[in-house]
Amino acid sequence: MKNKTMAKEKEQEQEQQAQQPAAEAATVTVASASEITTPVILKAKTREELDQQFHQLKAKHDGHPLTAGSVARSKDDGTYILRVDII
Amino acid sequence: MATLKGQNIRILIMDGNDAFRVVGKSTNCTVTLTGNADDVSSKDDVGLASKPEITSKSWSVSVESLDVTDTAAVLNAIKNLTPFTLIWDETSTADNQTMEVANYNRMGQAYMNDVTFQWDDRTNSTKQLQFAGTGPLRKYSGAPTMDIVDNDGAYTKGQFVRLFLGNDNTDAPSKILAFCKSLSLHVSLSLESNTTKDTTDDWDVQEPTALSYDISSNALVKGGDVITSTVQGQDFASIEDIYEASTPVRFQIANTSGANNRTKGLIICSGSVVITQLELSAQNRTSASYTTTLTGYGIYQVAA
Repeated sequence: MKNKTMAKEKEQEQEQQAQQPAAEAATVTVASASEITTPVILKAKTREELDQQFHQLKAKHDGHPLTAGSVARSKDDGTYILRVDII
Repeated sequence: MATLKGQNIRILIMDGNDAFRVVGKSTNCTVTLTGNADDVSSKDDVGLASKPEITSKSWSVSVESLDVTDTAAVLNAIKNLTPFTLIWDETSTADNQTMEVANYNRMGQAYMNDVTFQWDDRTNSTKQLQFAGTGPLRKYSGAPTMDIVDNDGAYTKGQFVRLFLGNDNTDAPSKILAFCKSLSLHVSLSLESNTTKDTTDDWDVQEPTALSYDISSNALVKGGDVITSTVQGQDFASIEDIYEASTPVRFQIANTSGANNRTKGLIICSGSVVITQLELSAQNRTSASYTTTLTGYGIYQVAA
């Protein structure tokens, strides 16, 4: 009797193992990565202008959180550059 | 013998539109493939060196970059806890912005598991990203497209990003770490080996378990100074008070503006931290300085 139960358990275990890879393959998700891939690049001659552009963008996407990175400056002409991601 | 130039090899990341994008305008990238060897399990000996048995394979990628304009996006990406599709490929054309789908290409899924940003005074800011592969790294075929954000030649000087600390854990930090010369933010994602015996060939599969982050800053001790601007300075006594109290405080890492870079501009990220280390250094004939390490808890916010 005990042997029968063990055999049954073993069978179940093997079945589960056979099913697992398929289930896992289906749940593997690739990050949409939208946060890092659909940025809006704002460019302006002055910091004030850049802030203004950011606030306009924020108003346009009311309700959506925005993320803003570090403000960069162009080596060529000193333009202020800000990357904004819309989540 | 054919040789490859470093600038002709780039790491690309898949975006939501199935296009590929260069990771962080990298100046440096490395792919490491590791064969994990079994422990030697007997005393059988065939000389001094025993033959290693490769039981599984793993891979990792590291990228260095001068572009920190995507700080917030990267901080968001690491806390997503989802793997990215990465490609290592040769590029062609004058600007190295066209993929070749070359002999040396590889593609796989990886978690971003370590991120460090460094903002130092008068220096171009840097970031370092590390990815840990989960599952196989294989050759691919086909011709994925490539899209590059157009901010070539743009750099963020470290003095334009500063750390603001609050006196308490409420959401209104108004103080700046006075005379702070350097600032770095480090975020780490712990990964553990898969908990089942499922394998993809013999490649290691990993899963994320915990996210942690810490902030380091270095400042000069300059007693008696009072900064009167839209933010106030914090002398040594203030930081010591926070340390003595052992209470968490709110932090914000933000862009700055104003004549002295003391006005808080757009916030890049914020959260709660505890001062876990305060180190004093007083060397003869040199300005005394302190170095603090703040360890974050809870999840940081990046939405502006």
